Amino acid sequence: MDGADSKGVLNQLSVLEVRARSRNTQPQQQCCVKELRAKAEALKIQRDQLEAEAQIHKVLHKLRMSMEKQCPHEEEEAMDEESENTQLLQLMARHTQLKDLLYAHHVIGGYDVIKTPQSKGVCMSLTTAYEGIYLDTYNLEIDLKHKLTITRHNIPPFIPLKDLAKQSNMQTNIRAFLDTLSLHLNAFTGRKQQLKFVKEQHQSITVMESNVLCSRLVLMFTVPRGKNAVLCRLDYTDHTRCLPTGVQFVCEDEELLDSPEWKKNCSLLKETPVHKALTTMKKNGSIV
Amino acid sequence: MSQENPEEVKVLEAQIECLQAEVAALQRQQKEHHKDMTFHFKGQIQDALLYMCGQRQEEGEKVLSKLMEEVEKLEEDLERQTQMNRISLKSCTTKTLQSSGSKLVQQLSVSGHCSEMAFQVEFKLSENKEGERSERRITDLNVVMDASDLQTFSSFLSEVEESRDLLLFFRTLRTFSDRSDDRCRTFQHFQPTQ
Repeated sequence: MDGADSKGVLNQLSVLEVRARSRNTQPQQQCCVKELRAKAEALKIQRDQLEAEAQIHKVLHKLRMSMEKQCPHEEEEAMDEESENTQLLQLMARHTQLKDLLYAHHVIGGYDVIKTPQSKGVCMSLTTAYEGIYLDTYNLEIDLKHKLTITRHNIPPFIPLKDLAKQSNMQTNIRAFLDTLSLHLNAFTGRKQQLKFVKEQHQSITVMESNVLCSRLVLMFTVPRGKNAVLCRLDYTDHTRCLPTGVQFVCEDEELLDSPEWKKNCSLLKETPVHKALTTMKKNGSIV
Repeated sequence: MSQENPEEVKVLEAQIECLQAEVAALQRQQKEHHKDMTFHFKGQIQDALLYMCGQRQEEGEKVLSKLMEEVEKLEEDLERQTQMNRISLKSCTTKTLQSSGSKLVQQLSVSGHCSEMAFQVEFKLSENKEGERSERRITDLNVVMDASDLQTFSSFLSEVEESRDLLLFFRTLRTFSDRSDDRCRTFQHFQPTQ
């Protein structure tokens, strides 16, 4: 209403505003400081812990290196005076080394033997692999009481477990039995894997027949000229091997089979895993 | 009071920034360390680590004895594997080359001996997870043997390296060493006793 009055009021309002603002920020600043201090403390603790861990890692690494070189005395001199910490660190280094060695035993296809509770027996794992790919793992549980007996297992029924146990004298030589079993299982999974590759990589070739043990395979090829079909039978009579012992061809055109080309194919199939042999045969133009 | 606060805030903020950078750098370093060694920090070894970092209230002796117990169990386990596998391993170093959600690639170097034959194998082990299935694969296999009858082995070794058949190498080593041992025993049996 009045110019002077409104100015006065406006001034008063702005003074009040400033006071209110400063009142708001002052307690805010105090909260802020508390929070910031707490945050800084937490970060300090985190940093110190990470630094301590990094130090320990360094020491453990050195200890591991000296353990592997088998010259333990070199590093001991550089260790801290505190005997308790030194002992603890050496134990920790040994712990990591043992874990790594056990892992290695597992990776290289070891039997991963585990004692069953109450020492009644042992559990064993048989790993299989083919061309660098780890395939199925089979397990057995053997009771060690008076006579060694296989109590549980997941070995497929077409692997003659009982016969193998007898043949390799499982009672007196369990390791020979395991080695033989491993041989059979690896050969089986190897053949199975080859069949899988044939189906995946060679769709122009029909798989006419195969059995669960993958010890017999009948394939049908198409010859490029004349569109003749060749039936190929592969027999794997040696169940410890991944390569066939017998290769037979059947074709209406018998002259074809007498050719040097097909005699070569016969040896190829005996010496090379089937999926690879087929690739070669395709390259050579023998089959489509 | 109100004059010190903005100063303190500035100082604290600067400190926090600095600490955050330090922590980030240390965490990166930790990641690198974990690639070089497989630290299985579970159970007793984790307790020991925390104790050493001042995080555990337990007595040093107790931590030591618990870890000792676990180490003894591992030693027994190793002995059992050595006996059953007839392979004596001297060292195994692993280095993680790649580690993402679904893929893990490690470089392993394993050395040891089987009977009188010393070996060193190096290979890459990759593990691929596809849904529920997980496939492990070996690549770049390199086998070195220190044996007197190296000639017998050389073509076998190159075949094994080409087919990446790590397991076949060890199966064959075992069989060969068993037969050598048998021959040795048989030979000694027929030695004239004087």
